[in-house]
Amino acid sequence: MEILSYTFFQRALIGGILISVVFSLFSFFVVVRKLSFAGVGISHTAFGGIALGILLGINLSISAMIFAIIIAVFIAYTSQKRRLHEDAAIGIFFSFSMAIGIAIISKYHRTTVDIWSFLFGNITTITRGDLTFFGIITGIVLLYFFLFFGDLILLAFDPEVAQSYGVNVKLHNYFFMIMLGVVVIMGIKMVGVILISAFLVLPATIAFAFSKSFVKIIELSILFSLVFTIAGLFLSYYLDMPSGATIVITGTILFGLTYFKR
Amino acid sequence: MSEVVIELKNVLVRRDGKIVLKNVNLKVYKNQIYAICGPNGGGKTTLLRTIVGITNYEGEVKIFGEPPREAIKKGVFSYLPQRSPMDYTFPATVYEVVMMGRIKKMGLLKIPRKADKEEVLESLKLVNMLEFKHKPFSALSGGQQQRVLIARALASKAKILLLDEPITGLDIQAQLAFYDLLKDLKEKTDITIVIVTHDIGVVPTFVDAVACLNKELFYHGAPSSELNMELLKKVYGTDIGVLVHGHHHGDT
Repeated sequence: MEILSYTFFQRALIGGILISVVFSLFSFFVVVRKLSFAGVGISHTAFGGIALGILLGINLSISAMIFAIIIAVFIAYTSQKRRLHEDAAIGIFFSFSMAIGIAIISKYHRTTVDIWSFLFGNITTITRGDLTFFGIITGIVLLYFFLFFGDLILLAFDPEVAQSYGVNVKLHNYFFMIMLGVVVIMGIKMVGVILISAFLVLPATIAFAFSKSFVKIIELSILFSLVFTIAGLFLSYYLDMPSGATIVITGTILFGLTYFKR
Repeated sequence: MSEVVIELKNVLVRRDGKIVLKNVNLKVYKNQIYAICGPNGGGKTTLLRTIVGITNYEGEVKIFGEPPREAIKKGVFSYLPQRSPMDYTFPATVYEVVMMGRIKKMGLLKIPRKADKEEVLESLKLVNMLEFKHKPFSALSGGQQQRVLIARALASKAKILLLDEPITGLDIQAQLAFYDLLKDLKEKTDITIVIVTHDIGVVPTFVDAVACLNKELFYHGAPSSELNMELLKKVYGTDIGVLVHGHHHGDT
């Protein structure tokens, strides 16, 4: 286990654990509210933000986060106004954002930034500063769920009744999408823009096979997410494969093994 | 006369420029079972949504003397919409569904306390669903699910229970059992129940007051002989059969 003595791997493990916990909490709500495509859309829009950050010379995580939040608000807005179907809005924003990213990067290809690592993740690039950033976001997310868990559950189960209980449905929808935009940035370093949506879908989907209680499903989501993330990190090292892809493949195999149990 | 719980004065509701409700005046008293009947598209659901404060309206609506949007903050309502908007496959146990009724009563961190747990079990007992508490909600029959949702409403300790077409999809036996449950609730608690139905065949047998609605109120009062065929023909626009206080009148 000499691997554990490497600083980059220690950071990857800590980052992976934080990401697993945060994404598992969102995973349940993303799956039951059928927001998987919104997760894909928001994560891909971060690529446009990264490219914009390169162009403007600002911190790429911040530019990606701002961009992802703006798009998340747009998605929530269009779905609430019902002028456009939500999946159509996501499809438009996400391809627009990727197009902006590609256009900017092709213009400024002399950049020293490793675009490949943003697209598919690179654990060796996780810094101490990144871990602090992950820690702050994890704290905010945990507080968010502690304070609003009941409202979020009622909203997912029975939105009209939630409204009659005085839950502000519109505000919650916006806030949920904004939080989703924030956490997506956490996962980019680990698995990249393209693969991050797996973290939003796999944990709860695997856990659904084992329980019909949402409390248990959320607990199991965290457990399964930790299992496939940590296993994926070790496998990526020993098999000399990219970390993001290995984690997602491990998670999908776990899903496959549990699929017939449901 | 007991306390007025719901009062509407000259209420008008428009949707997309069209008038859905007009000139609605009514009073519902504490611990009454109040039925709103009328044809589909007559504005029954809109009336319930107006009372709860989730629809814009003109005129005056008072819930315990306050506008609905103030009353809603105090958790006075428990509203059961028609079956369609809810996710009936949602992964939750019966116990968890009923606990959702307690979210406004829990503390800041929304962690169920002993009193919340006791209230949930008590509510399940009232609707005869205690033995199902660990069962998945999605695995229950339509009638059982309805009972669980009523238990959630009871656990919320709301003062007004609003039910929109609650018997839709239930078989006759389940319907009768459901009505017995409502009568039981009225006797055992001081809850006020407003029930919307297009089925006027059964409702008058146990309600205290009835309103016949088709965009405007055609009748508002006790389910007496004034609720005659002539009036119902006006509301529904066709000849219909009706059962008042358990007796058939004018079957067609």
